[in-house]
Amino acid sequence: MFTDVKRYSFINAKLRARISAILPEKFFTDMAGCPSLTEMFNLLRSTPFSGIADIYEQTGDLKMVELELLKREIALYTDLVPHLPHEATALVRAYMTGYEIENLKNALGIFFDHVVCKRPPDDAVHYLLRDKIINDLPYDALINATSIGELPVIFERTPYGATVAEHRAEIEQKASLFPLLAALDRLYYRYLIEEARRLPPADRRIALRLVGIEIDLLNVNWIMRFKTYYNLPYSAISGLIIPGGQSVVGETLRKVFESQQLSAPLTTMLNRSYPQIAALMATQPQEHGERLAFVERLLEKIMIEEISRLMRGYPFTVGIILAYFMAKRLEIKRIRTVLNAGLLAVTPQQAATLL
Amino acid sequence: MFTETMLRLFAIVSERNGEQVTRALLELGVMQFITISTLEGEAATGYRDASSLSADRAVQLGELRKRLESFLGSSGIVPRIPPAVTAETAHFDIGEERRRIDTLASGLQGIRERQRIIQNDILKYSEIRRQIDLYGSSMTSGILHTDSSFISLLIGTLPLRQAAAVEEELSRIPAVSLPIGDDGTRRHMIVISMKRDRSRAEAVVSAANWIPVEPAAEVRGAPGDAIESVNTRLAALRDEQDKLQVQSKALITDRRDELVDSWVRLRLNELYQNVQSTFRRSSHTLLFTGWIPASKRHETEQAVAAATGGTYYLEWLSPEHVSDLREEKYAAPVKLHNPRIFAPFQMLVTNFGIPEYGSIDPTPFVVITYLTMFGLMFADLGQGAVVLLLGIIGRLRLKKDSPYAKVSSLLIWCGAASIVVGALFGSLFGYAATRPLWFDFHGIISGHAHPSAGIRSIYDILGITVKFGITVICAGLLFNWINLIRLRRWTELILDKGGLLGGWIYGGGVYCGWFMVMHGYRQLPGSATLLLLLGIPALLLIAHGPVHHAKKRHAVTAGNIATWVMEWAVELLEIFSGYLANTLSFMRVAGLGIAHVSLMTAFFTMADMVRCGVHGFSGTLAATLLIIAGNVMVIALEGLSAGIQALRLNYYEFFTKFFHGMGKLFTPVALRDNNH
Repeated sequence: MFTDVKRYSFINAKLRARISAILPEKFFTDMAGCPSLTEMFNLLRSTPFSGIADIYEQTGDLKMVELELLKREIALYTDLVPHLPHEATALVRAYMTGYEIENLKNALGIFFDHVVCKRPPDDAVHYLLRDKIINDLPYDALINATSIGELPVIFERTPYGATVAEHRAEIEQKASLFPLLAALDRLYYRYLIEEARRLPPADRRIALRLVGIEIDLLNVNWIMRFKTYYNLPYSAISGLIIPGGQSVVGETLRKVFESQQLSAPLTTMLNRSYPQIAALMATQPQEHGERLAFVERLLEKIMIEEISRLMRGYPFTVGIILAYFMAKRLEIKRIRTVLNAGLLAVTPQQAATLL
Repeated sequence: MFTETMLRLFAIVSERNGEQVTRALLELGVMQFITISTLEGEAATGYRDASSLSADRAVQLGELRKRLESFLGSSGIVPRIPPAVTAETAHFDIGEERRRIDTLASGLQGIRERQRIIQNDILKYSEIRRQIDLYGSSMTSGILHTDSSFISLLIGTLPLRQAAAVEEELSRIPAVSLPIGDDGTRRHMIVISMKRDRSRAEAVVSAANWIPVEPAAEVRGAPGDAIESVNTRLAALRDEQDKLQVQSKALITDRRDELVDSWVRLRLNELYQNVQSTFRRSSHTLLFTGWIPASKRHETEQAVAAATGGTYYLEWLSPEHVSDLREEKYAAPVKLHNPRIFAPFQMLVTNFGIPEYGSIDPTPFVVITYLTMFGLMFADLGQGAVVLLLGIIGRLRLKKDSPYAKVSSLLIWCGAASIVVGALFGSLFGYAATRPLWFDFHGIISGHAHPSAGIRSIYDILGITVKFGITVICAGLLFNWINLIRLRRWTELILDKGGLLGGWIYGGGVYCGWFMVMHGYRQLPGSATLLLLLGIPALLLIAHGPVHHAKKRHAVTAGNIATWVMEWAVELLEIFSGYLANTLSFMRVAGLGIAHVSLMTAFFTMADMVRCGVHGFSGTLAATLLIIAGNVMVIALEGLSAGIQALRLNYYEFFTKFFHGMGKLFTPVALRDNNH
């Protein structure tokens, strides 16, 4: 116990103070009620996000603002690493790998559109983050590559070389990037699970649980997406499932796939772990597209519940660090959502439902 | 010493005077209104609720006012209702105000859209430059590997007379056109664009009789020109972007007066509707109620009389006679009335909480305790003068309503306290420079205090702070008893740990501590004394649970008895350990004072070592710089630390004895903020 206190007391105090400064729910409702983007940014001026209001004032470009938000999100991790107990550092770096992989997936998308789909390159190239997150990745070489055959060489000296080489033939054969993207996601969660398993026992339980929940919801989301948009059989999807889920694994996943509604298996899981959220299942929409958005909202509710649990729980664990990241990610995501709702001139009422 | 006495006003006026009364009360700005429709069992029966219309209107006005405020705020304009403006609200059209704000919003949004388009061009040119940087080196050999890049090259010639028009047209794509040379009738040119814009660039040049040529000879040396050309375009675009930003600010600043006037109209009408929304009406009369400081009773009566021509009925009730006072939302609000110079200390108090109505306002006591603690921890004539100077500079440079203005005032007070106590200890910038008026702090820390002096050792200094702590804690307990007597909470007065029994135990504990010190820490008072001072009050405390239970008239069960015993044991533990910790906590005052002197002594020792090691002017200069650096560091770190510790001692050792922060601040509806 004394080791836990020694390990986490400083970071616990620091992060609790930071969490208390996270923008409250009402702020986002007020922001969603603003009639124009300019007024939304005016509201942000009195918050720690005044810097992004300056970017909008200088450029009028919401994508530049989003790029800055992404940089800030990554900086949350990089700035905190020096203050972390060494046991937690590797796990946090594994979380940062997630941002690197997302960015890499964006760059692969640009390459693929350009080279395989022969589409003229779009604006995405301007908003690609080229800063180093964990590794120095050859983004320019990738987006300027002229054939799939170049990929293994480009990634040869990176941690993603083996994954890219493994899927090169499949990308060419299927003319689809999806197998590689799915493999990168699996790689990310493998890193996370590996690092979580290296933690001391109490931390390990918390970290594995949170990673497991994230994997559960991602798997459910994917299954619904494949079923809704691609009408694939379960046998084709099962190979893409990310291992390491917490509750929705094996047969439960199959049941989610086979049931017309999300209700039965997911309600069982929610009833067991999140009784307050389970009540939401009664309101799930019938339309497939809306149901995907519903799952997203469910994920958010579960994350909020997990943050609250971690904050109430024993303070000297890795939980406070993970709760902080989850809370900040949610805060930034909400800002992004409201701003995009403002750009698309969504009514304040509709914007409020997206929060 | 106590919070200001408040009175509850119930007023009935003729409906035709409603507008004048509203304006008069707004001008006066001393009344915190209560929405009368929510009162129960009051004289409101028979009055119809017409408040919702005004409330809706107030909400609409409030939303518009906040929108306008956000625009003004983005240009650094903080609107205020000017002193000359009265509560006159005629000639107001909410539709017109809304249109004005919408026009402003769409004007700004239009500029942002133009900025977005320019930004898109900036990003394209930046990408072109990036790609040239990455792949353009091969252009020097005459070949550009455009296949492996995101940029596209068109090389060819076009008629000279069309060149200027084509260049202008290309810049809108955007694309860079680099003239390589003229042959009398045609211009040789390289056109660089993003690949996705290639077809657009081709369309522009094709329309101008473009003839493609082989690149080998023409593009030699082109990257430098291309980068220069891109840089020129980028600079022009950024310049344009800056101009648009200035233009967007000007959209507000150029219309500053008009927009501030609009804000004033909105604010006045919002306040007016806010007041009206609390009224209740019959066919001929209006009924309204709210809290007013007793000191403003006469002014209010005069204002209402003038507004109604004498046709009014007012009833004044003191808080103890108001039947709904027990409900928190109707409780009498708290107005603290301290001299303006105590504003920084009132800020410290309200930061902790608002005292309950009728209880002691600790602000004047905080002035004494905070400054004494700060002075003892940071006693230095010179360093205090620096802090005082910083405070004065802050007050002169900051606006009155700046949140840091009060902090500057606090610095002035702290600086002065530091100077006074510095004089008592004879300390100047860390030197024992003057004859101490009280005792030689430096001498005691350095071990060469005068043997005949009253205060001779660090233990004596610690003793002073412990005695000071006992005084502060006793004052806290005394304030608690006064508050409880005024609020008639007799059970708490007697049986609470901060009540008389708690005080009895604390007094006993202090006596026992003194007795031990007097007997060389080897002996406690006799058992009869211990029983009288600690045992009896401790035993009496067990009555707390049963008395509390009896007041609620609940039946007694075995479980209750077990709970009372447990609570009693815990309370005893809290009293004995808590009061001991509270008292010893004041030793930090001595601790920080000692650290302050020790740090300065360390810097002087280091300066002496430098002076001995480096002879001549350089040594003296280095030593002086070291002492200056030491003073700066001590002022910054020790000053901050002393300020925080003094605040902490006030909050946790003093306030917790009597101050529960349960009050609600008095917030009158007023044209101007006059509730200091």
